[in-house]
Amino acid sequence: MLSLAITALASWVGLSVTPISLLRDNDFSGDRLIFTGLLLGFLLTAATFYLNSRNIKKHFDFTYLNFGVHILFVSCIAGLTVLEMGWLFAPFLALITAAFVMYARREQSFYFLIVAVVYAYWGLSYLIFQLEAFQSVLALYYFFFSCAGVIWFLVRYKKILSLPHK
Amino acid sequence: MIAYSNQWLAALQVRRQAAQWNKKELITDAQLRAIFDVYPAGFYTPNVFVRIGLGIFCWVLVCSAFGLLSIAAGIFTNERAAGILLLFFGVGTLAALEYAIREMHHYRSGLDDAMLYLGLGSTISGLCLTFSTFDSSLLSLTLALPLLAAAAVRYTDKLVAALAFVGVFAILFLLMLKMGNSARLVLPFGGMLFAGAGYSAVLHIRKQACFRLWEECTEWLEVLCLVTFYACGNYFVIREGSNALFGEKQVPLSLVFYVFTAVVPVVYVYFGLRKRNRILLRCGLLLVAVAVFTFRFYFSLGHTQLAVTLAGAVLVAFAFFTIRYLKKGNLPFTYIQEAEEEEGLELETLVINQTFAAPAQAAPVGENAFGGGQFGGGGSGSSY
Repeated sequence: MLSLAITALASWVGLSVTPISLLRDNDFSGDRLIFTGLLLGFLLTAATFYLNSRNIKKHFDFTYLNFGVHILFVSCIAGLTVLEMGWLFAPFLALITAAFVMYARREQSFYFLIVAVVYAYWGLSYLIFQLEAFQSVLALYYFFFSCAGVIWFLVRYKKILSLPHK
Repeated sequence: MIAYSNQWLAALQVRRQAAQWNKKELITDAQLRAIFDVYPAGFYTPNVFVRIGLGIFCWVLVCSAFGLLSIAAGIFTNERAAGILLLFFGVGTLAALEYAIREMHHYRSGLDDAMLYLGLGSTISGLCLTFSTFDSSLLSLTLALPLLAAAAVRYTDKLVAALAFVGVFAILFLLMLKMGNSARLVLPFGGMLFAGAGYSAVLHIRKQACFRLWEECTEWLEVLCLVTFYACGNYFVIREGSNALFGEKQVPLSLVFYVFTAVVPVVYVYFGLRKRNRILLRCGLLLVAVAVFTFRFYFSLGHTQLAVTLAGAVLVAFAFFTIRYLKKGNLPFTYIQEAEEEEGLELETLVINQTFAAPAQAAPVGENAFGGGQFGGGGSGSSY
């Protein structure tokens, strides 16, 4: 029922938010929708952390955050790729990636870890391909080595992430 | 024979069983720990989400590696050269897979899945391009089949096993099709014979202790045999197939196939209950629905609403009485739910699936926001 409520809330602000239609049905080329999405995603995420810290309805965390994370990341990447000053979104993307990786580490949630890593990789790849030099064979080298890097991270994420965890 | 450590694979089965018993409180936590100590399994098997992530990134990695290789080789000039390149690359990928399994102990980690499918895919397409240039599907299948079968045995992968089964069936099908018009009658019965023989062979294999490590593969094969057997005699398949292949609308022995369509699912359910075979029971239940669809396709009752309401009422009544009967407990089946392993994980997956499946609803933007009683049904499906 909560998912239903969030879907309705999102459609009120003009977004279609079920994860698949999030990409398919929304026209993210307008800045208005992007900022709406950012705000909604931010609100949902903030609500999760607020409710969590107050110990209210903790079992709904996942539902809020699942919507929040996808709306936030998709809007952010849309901003990155569509808007004129898109690169301004890069620090923001880095910020939310870090936030969700931290959350994933704290809650031991593999799902959020993977979601954050995939979106961050997407954004990063887009930024790198803005460089002239990468629109050539270098692209293949980039994919080869970056994927190897991500795989290395995912295989070792336990060691990497729990290092500062004392 | 198996690429993975046999001892660890067997240990995994023991651990799974022990964990299930622990959930049902048949053994204590201390006993469970003792079992885990005696049966160590050192595989690297991450959580399902990490597996998906690793699979995706490995896929991209292997594809870009192929891109680099083909640029370096620069011989995409003709099909044969491309085939040899693919073959070379596929063998290389499979070698990398072997290394990941032997040295890094990957097991169902996403990496080994991706490398297996990509390696097999490019090896097989390389073989086909080199030797048959895709002209003859029969030759391609014959080239692919030994590889698929060997890979299914070596990597105990159910998808590859299923593909191998489909390959055998397709070869048989193409051979029978060569008979010309008489194939119309030979095809259904030949297919049934093949599936039936396959089923009894699989049942025999599943009873042997030495095939226990291939449990998942043989389970899929069992399902496939049952479904293939039914599909070979299903009226819809026969009629539309003979129309598409031979351009004949009339079905010989149509009465036989009508009876087959209706009776076989019920027979499946009956024997599933009698023999306490869950696979048989579930296949039967599913195929009952298929049979109903088949008959609905050719005989319309006229009133769709009436038919749906009636069918729903009958099903609800059937479920109600079955549950009551099962609760009495004088059948080999009970209504008590079995403790599933990794319950938490499944719940989380369920939640994600639900949000994925939720239908999109557009905001009803009218001129008058409060006008009309249009309350978009809330997208409520059976999932809520």
